[in-house]
Amino acid sequence: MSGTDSIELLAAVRQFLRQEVLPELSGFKAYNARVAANALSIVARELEMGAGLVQLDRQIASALGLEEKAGAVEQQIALGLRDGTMVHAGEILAYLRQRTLLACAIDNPKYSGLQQARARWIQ
Amino acid sequence: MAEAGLKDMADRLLAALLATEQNAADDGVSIEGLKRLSGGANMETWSFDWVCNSATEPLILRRLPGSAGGLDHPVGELTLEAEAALLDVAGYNGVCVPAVRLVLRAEHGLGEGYIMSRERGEALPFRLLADDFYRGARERLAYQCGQALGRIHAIPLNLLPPSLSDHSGGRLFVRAQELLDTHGNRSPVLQLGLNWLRDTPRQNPQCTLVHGDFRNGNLLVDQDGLVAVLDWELAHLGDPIQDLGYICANVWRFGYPKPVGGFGDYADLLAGYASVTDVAPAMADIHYWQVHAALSWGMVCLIMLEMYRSGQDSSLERAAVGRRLSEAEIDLLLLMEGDS
Repeated sequence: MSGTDSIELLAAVRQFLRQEVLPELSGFKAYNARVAANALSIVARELEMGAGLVQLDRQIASALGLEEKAGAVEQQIALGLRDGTMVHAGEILAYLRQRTLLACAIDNPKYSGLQQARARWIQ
Repeated sequence: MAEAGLKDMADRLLAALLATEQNAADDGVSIEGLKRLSGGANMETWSFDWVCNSATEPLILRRLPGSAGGLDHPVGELTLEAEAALLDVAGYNGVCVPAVRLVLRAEHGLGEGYIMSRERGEALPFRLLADDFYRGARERLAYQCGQALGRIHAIPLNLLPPSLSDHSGGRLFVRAQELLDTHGNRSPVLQLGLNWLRDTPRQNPQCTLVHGDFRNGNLLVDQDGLVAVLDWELAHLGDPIQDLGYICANVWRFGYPKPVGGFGDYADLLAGYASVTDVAPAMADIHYWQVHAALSWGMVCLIMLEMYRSGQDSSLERAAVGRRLSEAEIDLLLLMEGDS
């Protein structure tokens, strides 16, 4: 791809929303414009970091012998935990921590819980 | 809403309120400043003034327009009529709540809902947490919240609307598991949270009225502190400590460090509660219900996502909240390690 890349397009639209649209709005519409700009930031971060989620899912699927055709990795683990065929320990716990850290870093990097979790789980 | 629609609505409000006045002349009454405040796709909140014989009464209309039926709030528990009845009971029992002015009937042509007093104060968490104007309020608020919760939990069960649902004992787990199952079991962490709640032993919890959504954002506050407790649609019967854990959930601190709603300390909340109830809840019980509050927030995210995907409510806000699941997950993982 040689044209403007996706991250750049998202940044341009976000800047348009924040600098040109938002000042024209008030109340609930202004709030929604901020939510919209923030949603674009999430997409941009997912484009940059989302491969890490796929990688974590592949690793745990391989470690636990999960099969792709049985459904999404997270769902298979959720059902395993529900039915007691999997336990919250060892590699599953490590996977859940890592995955949640990364997902939250994509979704809301300023979230206070993320800072706490980083301090505790990342040595 | 177009001007004509707004005028029609004001006319209907005027007729509904005029019928409640003993000595009002038709030419001495009006509806002023009618405007929509917020709400979901269906549930509406409106602000207006009722002017009658040159007295002005600030009011709020909360309604589902059109015919009665399904609730807008995805995890709503009560009909609006039952919610109005509950506000009355809470008010009589010393809880600071808006006064219900009129419960809508079919002949009013305004849908299902009720009209209540519009109280002074601010409910927006960021103003409350950041503005110097609320500095004094912030110091008192945790204690006042404890008092208000103590009064809510002391209301005799036989006074409550019969339609309140019962979440006590194992019912809570059954409902939560059903919800996770119907939303595709997409979060192992929410499942873990539910397992933890189910497997953690509890000592003889009480069963009382539980507000269910008692948090920063649903409290009207002025510079002296708590003015009114709002948003009762999640009220139910259950363990009263649920409300105390809920207001201490990380998500409702809005990024501020203080554990109670971002503004207060546990000790003040518990002291206010004990001043009314003579009950001193254990921190372990608060912690238990903080885990539940994080799970609940995660479940709300799942519900919002489903509302968006199904087209039931295709608003940006719904789509965005659906994406906040990872906040609930990170809180759950931290809480299950033993933090508050």
